[in-house]
Amino acid sequence: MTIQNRDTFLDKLAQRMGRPRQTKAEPMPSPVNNYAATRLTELTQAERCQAFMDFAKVMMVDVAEATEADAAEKILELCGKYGGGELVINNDERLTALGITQAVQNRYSTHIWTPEAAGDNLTQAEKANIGIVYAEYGLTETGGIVLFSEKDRGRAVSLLPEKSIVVVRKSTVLPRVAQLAQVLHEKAQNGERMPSCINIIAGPSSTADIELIKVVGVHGPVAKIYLVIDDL
Amino acid sequence: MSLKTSELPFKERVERQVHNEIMRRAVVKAQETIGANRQKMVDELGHWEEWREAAKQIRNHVLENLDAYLHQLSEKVSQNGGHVFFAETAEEATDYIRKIALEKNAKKIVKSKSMVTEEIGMNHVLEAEGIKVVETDLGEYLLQIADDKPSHIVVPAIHKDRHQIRKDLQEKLGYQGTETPEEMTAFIRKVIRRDFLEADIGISGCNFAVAETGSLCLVTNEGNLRLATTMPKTHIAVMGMERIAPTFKEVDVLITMLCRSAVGAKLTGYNTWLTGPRLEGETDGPEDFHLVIVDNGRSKILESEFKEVLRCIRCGACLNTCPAYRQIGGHGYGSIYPGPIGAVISPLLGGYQDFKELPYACSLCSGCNSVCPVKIPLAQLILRHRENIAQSGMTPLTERLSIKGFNFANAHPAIWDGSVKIGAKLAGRFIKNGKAPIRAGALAEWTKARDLPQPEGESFRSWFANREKN
Repeated sequence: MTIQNRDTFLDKLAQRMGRPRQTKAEPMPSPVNNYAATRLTELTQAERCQAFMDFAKVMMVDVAEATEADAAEKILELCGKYGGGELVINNDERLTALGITQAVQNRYSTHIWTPEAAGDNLTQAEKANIGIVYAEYGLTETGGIVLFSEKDRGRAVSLLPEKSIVVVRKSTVLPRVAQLAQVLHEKAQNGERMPSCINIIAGPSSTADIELIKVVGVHGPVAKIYLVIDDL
Repeated sequence: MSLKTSELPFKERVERQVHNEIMRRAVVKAQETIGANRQKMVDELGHWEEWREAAKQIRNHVLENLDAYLHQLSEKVSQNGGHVFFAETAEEATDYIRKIALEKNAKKIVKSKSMVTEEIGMNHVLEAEGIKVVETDLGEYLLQIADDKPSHIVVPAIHKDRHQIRKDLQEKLGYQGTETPEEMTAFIRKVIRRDFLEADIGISGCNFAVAETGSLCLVTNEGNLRLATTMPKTHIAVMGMERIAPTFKEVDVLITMLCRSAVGAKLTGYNTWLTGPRLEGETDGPEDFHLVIVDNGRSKILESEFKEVLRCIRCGACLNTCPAYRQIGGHGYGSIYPGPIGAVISPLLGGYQDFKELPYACSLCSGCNSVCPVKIPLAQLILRHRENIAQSGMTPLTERLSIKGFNFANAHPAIWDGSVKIGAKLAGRFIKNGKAPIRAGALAEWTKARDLPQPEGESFRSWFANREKN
């Protein structure tokens, strides 16, 4: 794809920096300290999961727990609690493996996000009351979850419906963004392209633009729900 | 509009703002609330000074290698299927964006909050082509419908209260509900959702661009940025050229410092990392992606004595601690960049002619230095501006003459002693009810709100020399 005006722009910049133009940066010096990489790594995985769930609740996330065996049953309870109606769900084999996809399909009018559905994906997501996604990771520090987009995993599934349910496994809870960054760095080193959209989400959408009063549900979901699968 | 938010002279702007009771109450509340939340997050994180050092190290490294990182970033964006445009000036940037909008035959554009698009005056250029540009950040939207200007870089409509907002919504959009923030927000959600569904282009800023992967990191809470980069077919991102991080590892440190400093949160609700347009088979996200990298005066700053200000990550913590900002609010500065950071960069980006007063809207208390997450010596840079302004002869003639007189007297002990003695004796005759007969320059400003003390009739030095005799 096109790159315009680069040479004149960067030549002038280098001139102002007082040296010949470089195309390769000096290596990043060793960090002056390692707090970013080590913070919260002292916790056991169980402690990390507990802290993750506790802080998610502070961020106004409704947190439910399930085992692999009763995940399907629990998801139906959650859908019922949040008004059921029309659903949209990612075509994610990890949701199928937990029996979640089949369970909601049997109970509710469910749209499955696939490339074949094309333009219908957005139309259905806009109409849906609940969107269901599977998270790559949870993050202890912020109580957030991490989503990678791809052809079977739409950006809109966790965005357009008023309620957003996220299925996340305890074994995937990382301490902080630093560990996610490491995963992505390794991908980049292996020559892999990044997902077109990565979202780190903590809580429902919110604003404090009127008198600094926090209001949930601005443009994105009004309710955020985690179904945490205990697989430790 | 671009950098400037007002055509009024500085003193008039300030005069209006200090009498704006609603704004002043709101700013005090904002400073106290955000300040307290920030402090909680600083304490919770621990080792704050070390984190600041780490963030400063990253930003310095980026600035020292900026040409190389911009090269790498543009290569990666292009490999990922995006277009890159390097814009030396605001006009080059807006020309390119206008060209894309016209090519796409765009009727409506949804925009996520971005300071740099304000800086380059993008909206007006697009609106002149008959394109509707909708600001979708709630605060920016409220300002747009009321034809008002942002007064804070993080909370743009901080100067308005719910009553004013309800009135605007009623007049412009026929809103009939109450003035609770919840009900007004729900109303706006419905209105803007239609815009998202209809928009041809989404435009965003960029908190950090990752050179290693060609990704953009955007830090938001409302979900509008996600909508603006999910629904429209085209995404145009505009970034100040210094907003780079080498890898996601450095992004981690920077967003940690940004969110804790800006709003007193561990992270914001959404951190969205975008890489190129949608991939094959994906059915949402933009089909076309453009990154506009803007210089607009930044490279000149890089070669100047003000280089350190380019470390800024736009958290607004300096605004939230500044006693001058507390009194005059964002509109007092007359720039989209107010507060201490604005007092440094507005004159650099917009020139002394328009912004020479801003470095004086500061008591040099250096509170900003101590909260800045990337350790910019803001107070020292403000002082440096004053030196430049004084040296270039831009200060008022009376001020220059009085400083000359002072220097002359100060260099001649006999004159100094004589004038101090005479002054001490005469002053008592002229100062009446705390006011001096000459109302000019700094003295006039000072005595507007304060009374001069009644003189003792002798200078301090005479009193000191005579003290043992008495």
